[in-house]
Amino acid sequence: MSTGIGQIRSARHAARLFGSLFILTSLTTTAQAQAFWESWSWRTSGLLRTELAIKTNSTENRFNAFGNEFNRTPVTIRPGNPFTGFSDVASSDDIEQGFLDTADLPIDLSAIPVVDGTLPLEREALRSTPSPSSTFNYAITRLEPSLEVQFTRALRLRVRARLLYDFGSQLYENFDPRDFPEPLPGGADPQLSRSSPNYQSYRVEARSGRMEGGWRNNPFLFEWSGSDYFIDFPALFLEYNQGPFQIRAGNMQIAWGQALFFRTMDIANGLDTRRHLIIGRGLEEFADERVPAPAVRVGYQLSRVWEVDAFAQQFRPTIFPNPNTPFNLITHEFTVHDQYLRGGYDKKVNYGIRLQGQWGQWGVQFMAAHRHNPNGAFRWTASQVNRALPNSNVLGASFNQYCEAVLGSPVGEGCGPQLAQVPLDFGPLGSAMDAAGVQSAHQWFTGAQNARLGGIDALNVLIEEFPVAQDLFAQTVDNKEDAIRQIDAFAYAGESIRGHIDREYHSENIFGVGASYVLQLAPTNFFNQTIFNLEVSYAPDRVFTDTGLRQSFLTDDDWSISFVAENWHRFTPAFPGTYMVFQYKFRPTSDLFGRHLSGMGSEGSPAGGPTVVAPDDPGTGSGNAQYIVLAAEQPFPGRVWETAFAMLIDVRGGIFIQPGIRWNPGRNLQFDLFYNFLEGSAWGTRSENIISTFDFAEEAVIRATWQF
Amino acid sequence: MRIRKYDFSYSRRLLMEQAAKGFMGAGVLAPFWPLMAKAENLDDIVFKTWPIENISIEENTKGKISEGDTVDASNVEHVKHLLDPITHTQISEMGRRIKIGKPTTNVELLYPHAYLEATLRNAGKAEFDAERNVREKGTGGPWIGGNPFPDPETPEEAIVNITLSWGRHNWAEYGIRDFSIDPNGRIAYQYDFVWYEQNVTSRTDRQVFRGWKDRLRHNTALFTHPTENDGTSFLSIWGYDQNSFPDLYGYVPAFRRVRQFPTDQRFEPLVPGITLFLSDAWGAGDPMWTWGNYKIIDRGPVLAPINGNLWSKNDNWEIPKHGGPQGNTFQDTTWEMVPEAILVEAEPVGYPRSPVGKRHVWIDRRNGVFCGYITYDRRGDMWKSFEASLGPRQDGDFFVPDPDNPDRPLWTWGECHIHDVQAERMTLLAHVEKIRGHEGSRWNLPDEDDAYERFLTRTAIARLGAA
Repeated sequence: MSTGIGQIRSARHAARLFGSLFILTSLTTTAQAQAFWESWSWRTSGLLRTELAIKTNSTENRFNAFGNEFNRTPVTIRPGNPFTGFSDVASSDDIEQGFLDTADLPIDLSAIPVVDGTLPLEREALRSTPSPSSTFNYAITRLEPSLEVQFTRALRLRVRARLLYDFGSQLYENFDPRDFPEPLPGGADPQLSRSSPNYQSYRVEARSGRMEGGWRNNPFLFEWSGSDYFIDFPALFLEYNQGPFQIRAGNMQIAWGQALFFRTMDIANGLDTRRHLIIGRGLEEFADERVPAPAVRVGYQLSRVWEVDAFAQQFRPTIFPNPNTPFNLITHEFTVHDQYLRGGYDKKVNYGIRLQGQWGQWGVQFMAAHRHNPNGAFRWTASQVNRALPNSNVLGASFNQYCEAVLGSPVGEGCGPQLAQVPLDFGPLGSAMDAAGVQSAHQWFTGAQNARLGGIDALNVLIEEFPVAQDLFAQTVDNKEDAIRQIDAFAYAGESIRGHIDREYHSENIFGVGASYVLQLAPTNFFNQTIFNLEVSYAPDRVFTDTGLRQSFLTDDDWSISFVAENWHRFTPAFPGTYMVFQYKFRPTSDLFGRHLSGMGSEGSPAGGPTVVAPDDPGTGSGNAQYIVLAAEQPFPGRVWETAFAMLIDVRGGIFIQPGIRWNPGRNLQFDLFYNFLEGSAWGTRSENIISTFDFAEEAVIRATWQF
Repeated sequence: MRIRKYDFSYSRRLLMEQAAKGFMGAGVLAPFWPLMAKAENLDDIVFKTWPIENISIEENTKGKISEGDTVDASNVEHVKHLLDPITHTQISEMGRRIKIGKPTTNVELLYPHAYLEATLRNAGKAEFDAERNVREKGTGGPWIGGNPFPDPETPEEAIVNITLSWGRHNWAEYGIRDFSIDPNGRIAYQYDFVWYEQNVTSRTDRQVFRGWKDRLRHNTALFTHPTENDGTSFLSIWGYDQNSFPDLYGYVPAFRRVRQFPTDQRFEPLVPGITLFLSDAWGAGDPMWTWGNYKIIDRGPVLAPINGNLWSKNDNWEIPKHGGPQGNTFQDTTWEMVPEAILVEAEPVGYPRSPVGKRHVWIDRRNGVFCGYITYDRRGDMWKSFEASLGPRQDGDFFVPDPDNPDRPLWTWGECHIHDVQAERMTLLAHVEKIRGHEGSRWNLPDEDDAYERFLTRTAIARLGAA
């Protein structure tokens, strides 16, 4: 309801604004004003584009229910004994005796069916979710109309809208929790967890709170989105230009820096990955991904050498794909509580200033910015889900009785009041929780590895920072075996576990410096006219997600260094010059996605499949992240055909190769065909490179564009 | 009845004989430039300088072709000796038709007003320095406007007349409608773009823009249509030194930012399907000493499109088309006799990987602008022609006024044909009244500072880029 009211309010504001303008125009009748109106000119243009990505590998997205590595793969869980610090496997007798000894509480397990003469305390965790083979990763049609109104030579309005329809509900293999006899219990955003995937909405926690109904769609002004549609205005601003001075005010994207794709100095906007993640046509960089936001941007050409550029812009975060959508990157067993609205981050302003100088072969730039990191940082948060453990198993029934008898839970609520204070919620098998939760320690550790977290670390932090867990006999551990037995105990008791994490945004300062140089050699030299760019950025005390999802996060200085060499070279007179670019990036603290390197390097999980051995915690992490980009574009004569090739190498063992071809047949048509080859296990440790995070997305992409 | 004194090739033979003896001055009957420099009435100089066979198409073709006739495949052989080979092929084999107009004998109509004044005022004041750049004699400063060598004695002097001032206005911006025709004769691409050029030095107002004596010009090509290319732009900052390459920047909409480009990639199509290269601009699109081995290989009368190429009665001054497989390949044009042109050959010595092996530029002796242009590939085969109508902007009684003398028609270009004969692609440029995203062409602005900031800086092209 709040969503609808918000939209109505926005619409009213807009209506008032345009109404005022209309009245103003109607009342203005002087000859001068008439001349002003007559001096207006305007034009429209646009494009209509269909994009289709056909999946070419058999690996489903492991962050989704359908792609979970444990689907139809049984894992035996043997709960540890909470009364011995989980140092050994428990039996039902151990449990009964333990509660009697520690709380003088006789446990009634008469409702638990006896199997082979005993009360079972071991189970084969078997996710019954299928892993259907998807045909399409991406199928959308977009319309992007543009309008430009020139009021005077100095003042103009620029508008570009983006209207997109996602054919996901018709073409993708969609996980739908409603296929289960029982729906997913409460606690998660119903629009993201109780129906078929939501492809295009950006959902955040409402200002008022998180409980059911407390979620908000479209927190951005100038954006309207639903499950399968998306409308926004990447450009909607007024621009005034007088001599060397210019100012823009309105909704806009801002791109800084020269290094393509690496974003060393491109710090103004987060990325919207709802549309094809970041694996669209490589040479188009992030033009479609940068999140537009209301801003004021001012530029001034100080001299023929120096120019200064500054902005102040509403903070908007990077937007990740929603759970169970083809490019989802956050494991679906997490409920993410995005605090963008509730934390008041929508009222924060990023601002920055850049000074650029260019003389002859040399160029320099200096940058300083204050912003909220759009990636955000995640940490455990209390689930606030008051739901008892299932009474259908020995552990669940025992704990529920303990909570009511000893910890003061109202009768019938079992451990619900206690569990509401820890960052987990539990649900019975047979419901949608079967597919939506973690059922074993092995799944816990594998999920942690995929998310670049530490399985033990996350367990210990949960227990330390949410002390209610200790009331339920949870205790920190110092080895994987104890951790496995403890997690298996909770998985047995709760049957299926979901985690709750907050996403918060932290302010930071970023400083950058860059230099460019155009090499002048003999005209015959291959390297003649090669353009070199070096960019360095430094963010002191940047806040990262801690590998244990600690409340205090992880703070570290973050450096990013990029080196770029670009060259156009004509290999043969018959063809236009070939554009070639080499890029190298060094990051000593975080990876290309902004994840702290301490989460990298977990050993023990084979690529793309369930593991019989729970992965280790990452230990000390990987020492640094290094990336190499090799890209080239070769137009054919007349540029009617253009071939392109881009390759991103993560030196830790990942490769992303994108060959492509573009056809410009004329008559305002354009066709692109490219292939995304992804290998996250080329060499080294799989969990140390970024490609392994999305190497399920291998695909062939077709794009057809009509411009008008 | 006028008695023909010479046959049609007499003057060509005479002019080449004079060239062989080192006499390069324009004119057959009398030297053109001395008459020009002294004359109070520029109307009749042409008649005093060249024989009627160089001026009248009827005389030149022995009555086979007259003013008002249309040259097509049926009669093109009568004017073959006056046409470049690509134009001849267009007419004889591709269905092109050209109308023959009255020759422009009033030399005033062949210059912008201020440029003619500067040429006359500054005659004899130019010299090449040790770096082979044109300097004002006595001061050593950059050139002070007009043609530095109004009566060129060498091919280099003829080329530098074009290079130092392309459009012959201190400031010019042209709204250009582009039709790029594919080998099947269809309009495959239609672009709108604006071409801005500003002379920093070599200006007719005796000024040096902002005192920047080390620069020659600023030039931006800004595409405004279609959407994919909207905001694509190329900014060239030319140094005054003609041995150096211009700095080249581009705004690439996909990148949302200004990128620096290597400057020796001047032989690339700017956008898909177009056959125009930066190197082709005005017949001398590169700094002149990045080319070399200049030589004059022919002199004589030619046909060229000059006057009568403004279609002011058509909506938006659009130019009718004809010919080719779909009736779209050529624009309707009017051509006329140029009494004497020199044909200069040059090679791209500064571009060892250039696909161009050499180029031929025909230069009108009366005003020093190009009136024909053909490039050859590295094998020596003909590759492209670049034809532009350069003349007074008038159509009957209607004319676009010269900003410095509103009583006279403006001199500028009207249309271009850029024909890649190897790929069989044609690019037609039409200087129309307005294009999408631009309010119409302008010249010699009162507030050039503001316009410079608005269109000719890196900040400007970032702002002009698509949002």
